[in-house]
Amino acid sequence: MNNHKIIFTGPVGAGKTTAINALSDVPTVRTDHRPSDATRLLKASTTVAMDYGLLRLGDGDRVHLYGTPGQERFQFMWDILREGGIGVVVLVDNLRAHPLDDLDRFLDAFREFTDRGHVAVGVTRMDCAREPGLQRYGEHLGRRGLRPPLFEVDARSRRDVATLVRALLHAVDPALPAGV
Amino acid sequence: MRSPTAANAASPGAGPPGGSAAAACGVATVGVGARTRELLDHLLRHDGGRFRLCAPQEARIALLDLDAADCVDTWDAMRAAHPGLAPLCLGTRRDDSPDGVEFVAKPIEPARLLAAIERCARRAATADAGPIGHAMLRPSLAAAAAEPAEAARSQYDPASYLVQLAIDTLAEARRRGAPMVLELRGAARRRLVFDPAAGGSVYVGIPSTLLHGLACTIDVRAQVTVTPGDATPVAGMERMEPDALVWDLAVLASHGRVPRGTDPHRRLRLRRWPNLTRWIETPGAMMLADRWSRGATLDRMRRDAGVPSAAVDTFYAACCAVGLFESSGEPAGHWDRLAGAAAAPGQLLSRLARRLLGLA
Repeated sequence: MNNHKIIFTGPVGAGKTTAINALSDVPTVRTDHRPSDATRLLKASTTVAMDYGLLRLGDGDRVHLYGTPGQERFQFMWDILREGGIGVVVLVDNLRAHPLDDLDRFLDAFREFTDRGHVAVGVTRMDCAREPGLQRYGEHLGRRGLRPPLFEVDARSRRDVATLVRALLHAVDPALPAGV
Repeated sequence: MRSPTAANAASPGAGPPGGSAAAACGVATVGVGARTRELLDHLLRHDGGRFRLCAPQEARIALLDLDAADCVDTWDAMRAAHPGLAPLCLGTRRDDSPDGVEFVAKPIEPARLLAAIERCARRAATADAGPIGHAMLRPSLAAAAAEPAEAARSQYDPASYLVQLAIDTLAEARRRGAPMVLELRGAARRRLVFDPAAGGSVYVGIPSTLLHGLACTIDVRAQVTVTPGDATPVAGMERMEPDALVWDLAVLASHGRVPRGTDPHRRLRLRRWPNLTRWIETPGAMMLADRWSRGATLDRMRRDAGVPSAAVDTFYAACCAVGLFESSGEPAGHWDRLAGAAAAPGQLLSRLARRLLGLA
């Protein structure tokens, strides 16, 4: 049996838990808790350790989907989660005050993936906030020397999340067949 | 664009405005997609009522889309039931059409199509229909399948298509700081409203099938008007991102061709990936986007991407229309060296990608 890992990261409320739930073959394991910090202004419960989902590929191969907790004080969890990962999906909430800064923070936190181009960026809640648009995200990433997959994403949409992860796989392995 | 089904004769109730449906020459369609059929209906209705779409039993002309997978079989059945039908072929390649049969090349130019229908009607009236059947069509279709990229080597002029008109109209709306309206001639309320407010929006009041047909039509400027529309109501119209509309229109107009003047040896790089969760995902788009985000020439992509040149060219044309390319000074072709750098084996990633494709 081979086990592999894809990490979903991003700030509180960006849709990591929802995205994993959209893809997972099993009911997602959630470690939500009623927040005691400023997060309680944003949502009734938040992830305090990690979210977990699973994609079974047959022949015993499994891809584990891990969602990082959004709050900075749980950063030690990120180190544990990034070990052996295929790549990282960064979800950014466009409704937040400084989503480009959020993006930078999470790209930096997962630099070993970012530097190899094993990253894909999904911008959520663009239906509520059109700006910054994808062009600005693209310019921002370009200034960092990055051109990762960059899509508008509705984290509730299995199709959107699957498309984003598929793009991540192409970024991870440019030799993937064109038809997938 | 292949039609999923060839059996698509239009409603017999479709008559021309101000004309007599009974007097009009009937045209049945075989394998013609819904988009093209709706455009055709619009064209015939506004051509003075000489022709109309109808069911095969009322028709004198059969319009065959040779690109449709089941066109030949459907035509054989239709011809057996209605031997008097005169065929008129549409297709990407003239070679697909048997000798002596009227042929109109895609993208369809309305004036040419009308002229061909007219000639066909004359031949039908003189019983010189030139019947064609399975045996005549099949070899040409097989040849087309063997050389799918041939048509893709040609170039097209975006200025003749809706895609460039949409780009120009949006630019004009932005320049004026007020909405612009692009409206189909003779079809009130079938319109696109380009609103420059809040980063730009397009409100779509044209049915998607008709819009897609228009996108494939050459010399589209003759069929639409563009006017300022400061107080244009948009309630009930679908809102689109301008880039999404431009991308979709470019994909449809390109049809496996690149814009005129393209230098296939110029090294380019994507500024950013196309927004493939919201825009049409063209064949091989993921792989092409990844490779072009690293920098490549069109020529290299055609040779090495492993997808038909037509798919590469369509992706290229759409990226050009949205303005996603910039010149790249970096050496192209390093994607080969990157292969295998992943933490997981490529086979596993490939299986995972297929699994995700199924979920999408």
